[in-house]
Amino acid sequence: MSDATSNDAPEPASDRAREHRSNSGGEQGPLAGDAHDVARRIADGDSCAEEAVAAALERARTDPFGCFESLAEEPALERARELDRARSSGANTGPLHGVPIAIKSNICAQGQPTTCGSRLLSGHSSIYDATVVERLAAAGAIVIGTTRMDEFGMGSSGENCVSGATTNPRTPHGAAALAPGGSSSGSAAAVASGIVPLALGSDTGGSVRQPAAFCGVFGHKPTWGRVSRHGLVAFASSLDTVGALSRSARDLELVLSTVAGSDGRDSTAFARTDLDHELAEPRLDDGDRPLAGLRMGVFDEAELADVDAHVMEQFTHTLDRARELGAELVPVDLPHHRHGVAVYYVLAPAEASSNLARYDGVRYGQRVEAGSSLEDMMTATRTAGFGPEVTRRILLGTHVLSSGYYEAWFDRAARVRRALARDFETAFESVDIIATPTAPTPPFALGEDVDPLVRYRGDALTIPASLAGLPAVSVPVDVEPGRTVGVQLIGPATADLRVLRAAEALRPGAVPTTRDTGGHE
Amino acid sequence: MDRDTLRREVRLARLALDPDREQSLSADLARILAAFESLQEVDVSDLAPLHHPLHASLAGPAAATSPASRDVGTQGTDTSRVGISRRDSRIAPPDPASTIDRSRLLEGAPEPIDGHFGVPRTIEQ
Repeated sequence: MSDATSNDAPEPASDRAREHRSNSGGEQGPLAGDAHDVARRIADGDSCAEEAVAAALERARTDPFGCFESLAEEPALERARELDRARSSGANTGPLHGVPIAIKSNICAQGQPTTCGSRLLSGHSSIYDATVVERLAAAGAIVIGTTRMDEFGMGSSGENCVSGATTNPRTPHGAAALAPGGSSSGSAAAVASGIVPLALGSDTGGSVRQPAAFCGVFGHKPTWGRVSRHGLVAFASSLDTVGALSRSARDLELVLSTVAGSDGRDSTAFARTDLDHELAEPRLDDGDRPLAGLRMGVFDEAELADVDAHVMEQFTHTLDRARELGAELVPVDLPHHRHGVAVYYVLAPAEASSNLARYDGVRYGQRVEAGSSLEDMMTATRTAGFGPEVTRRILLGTHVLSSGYYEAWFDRAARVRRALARDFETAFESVDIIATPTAPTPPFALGEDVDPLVRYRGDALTIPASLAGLPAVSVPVDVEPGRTVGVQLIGPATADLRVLRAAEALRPGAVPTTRDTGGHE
Repeated sequence: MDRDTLRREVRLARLALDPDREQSLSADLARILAAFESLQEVDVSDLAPLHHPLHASLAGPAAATSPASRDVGTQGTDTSRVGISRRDSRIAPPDPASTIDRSRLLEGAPEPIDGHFGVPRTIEQ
C-alpha cells in the first residue's frame, strides 16, 4: 500500500500543512476517495456496484481491527447486481447508487443481526429496516454488515462489546492498541480503515462524535428529531440520534439530505421543509474565505483547562485557520456547561433503566431458565445478559428514579438540563456556531482499568449539545496515528447544514484512510 | 449508597449480584453520585424540567417557560413551527406488504408457544 504523502513536494512540517495536505498518491480502485467519489465512478461506468461491494466485503473479511459484528455477503452482492442491472437498463439511480455502507448493530436492517453488542441479544435478527436504512437503500446504498459497539451504546472505548473490542486503525506501528472510541466504535474504525466510505452510528452523549475524533474521520450528530429513530434500539430516548461517519463533510451532507425528515413511525421526527429550502439555495463561491461573516463562539480557556496539550494545540490551530477563512471568533459563556456530565449521567441511565426493561427473556434474545417463577427467569436472564457497564447504569438509573431520590436527582437534573439549553439559546444570540475540541484527550490505550468516572468525564465536551438537542459535527483536524484530534462544531437547533458546511470549509476533501497512509502493509 | 438500598434497587431492576459485585457496585455508585453533588448547588426554583429537547431548544424561550402551551399537534413543516411535534399518526394508510406477520415477530422470541410468547408458569394448578 502506497504512502499518501510520499509523492508530495517537501513542505514545512507544520501541523496545519499536514492537516490540509492533499490526498494525492492514495489508494486507487473502486473504494478510493469518499462516497461521492465511489458513486461517481459507478455512475460514469468506471466501476460498478458489484465491484465496489465485493471490494468492501473482501476488506471486511480480512479486517485486522475487528470492526464488524456480522457481514451480509450474499444479500449485499445480490443487491449490487440488481442495481447494476437497473443502471444498465437505464433506470434512475440514487445519489448513493452502489455505495457500500456499514451500520451499527443497534440499527435494524432486515435479516441482519441486531445485537447491540450485548450477550442478551446475541443471535437476534431484525425483521424490518430502520427508516434510515430504508431511505439510504432507496438512494442506492448497500449495507454490507453491522458493526461492533459498546453494549447498548454505553461506553466510549468500544470495549464493552460481547463479541470483542475494535482496535483503532490509527494506532502507530508497534504501539499498544489504541481505543477507537465509542460507542460507535466499529463504524468509525470501518471508515478510517477504508472498508466502507460511509457508516451509520448512533449518538446519545457523543457516541458518533468521539469515535470519529479518535479514528480521524468526520461524524455528525443531527438535531434531535431531524432524523427518524424508527428502528434504532432505544437507549435514552430524549437524547438518542442516528448519525453518520464519513471521510468527508460533503458525504455527511449527502446522508443528511437522504435520511432527514418526518416519519409516521417516529412522532419526534420533524418535517424537512427548512432543510430543503437551504439545500435549494445557490451556494456562493466564496473563494478562499468560505467562513466570511461566520461568528464562531469559543469558551474561555479556563473552561478547557482539562484538555490535553496536543488536543489544545490542534484546536488552537483550527481556530487560527477558521479566522484565516473569514470567521470571527467570539467568546461565549455557558454557565451550566460544567454540570453537563452530572446531568447526563443521571438522566441517560434513568431513561436506559426504563428502556432496557423490555429485555426480560420473553420477547427477544436469550433466555436463562432459573428457579420456578417468571421473576426468577427474568432476573437470571438479565443478570447473565447485561455486561458490567450496562448493569452499573441500570442501577444508577433505578436509584435516581426511586422514591426518596427522584426529586434530588432525576427532577433536579432535568431542571439543570433546561438551564443548559437556555445557556445555548443565549449564546446563539451572539454567535452562529460554537467550536470546542470533540474529546479532551487523544485516543487512550485499550485495556486500561480506569474508574468509570474518568470515562464519563471524557464525554464532557460532547454531552452538552446532546442535552440541548443541538446539531454537532466532529471534524478530523489531526489524523496522524496516535495523535488523532477532532474539533467539534455545534450549531443552534436545526442548523445541521451550517455546521456541516463549516466543517467542509475547515477540512475540505476526504481524509486519508489507513490504506492511503500505509497502515496495511 | 447503603447495602440495603442497593439490594432493594437491584431487585426492582430484576438483577442479581454476587457479594463481591455488590460491594464494588455500591462503592462505584456512591462515588459517582458524590461526584455529581454539584447539581445540588444550582438554583432550580425557576426552571421547569426539560424531559426532551424538541420543545425547549427548537421552539425558543417562550416555549421553554410553558412547554404545554406549545405542545399541540401539527405537521409543523416550516421553520417557524419547528419544535412542535405532530400528532402521532400514520402518514399513509397501512401498507399490507409492510405489516409484520405474527409468526415472524415470534421468530426472535426465546420460547414461542402456539403463536404466543411462552413464559414460565405463573399460576399454580
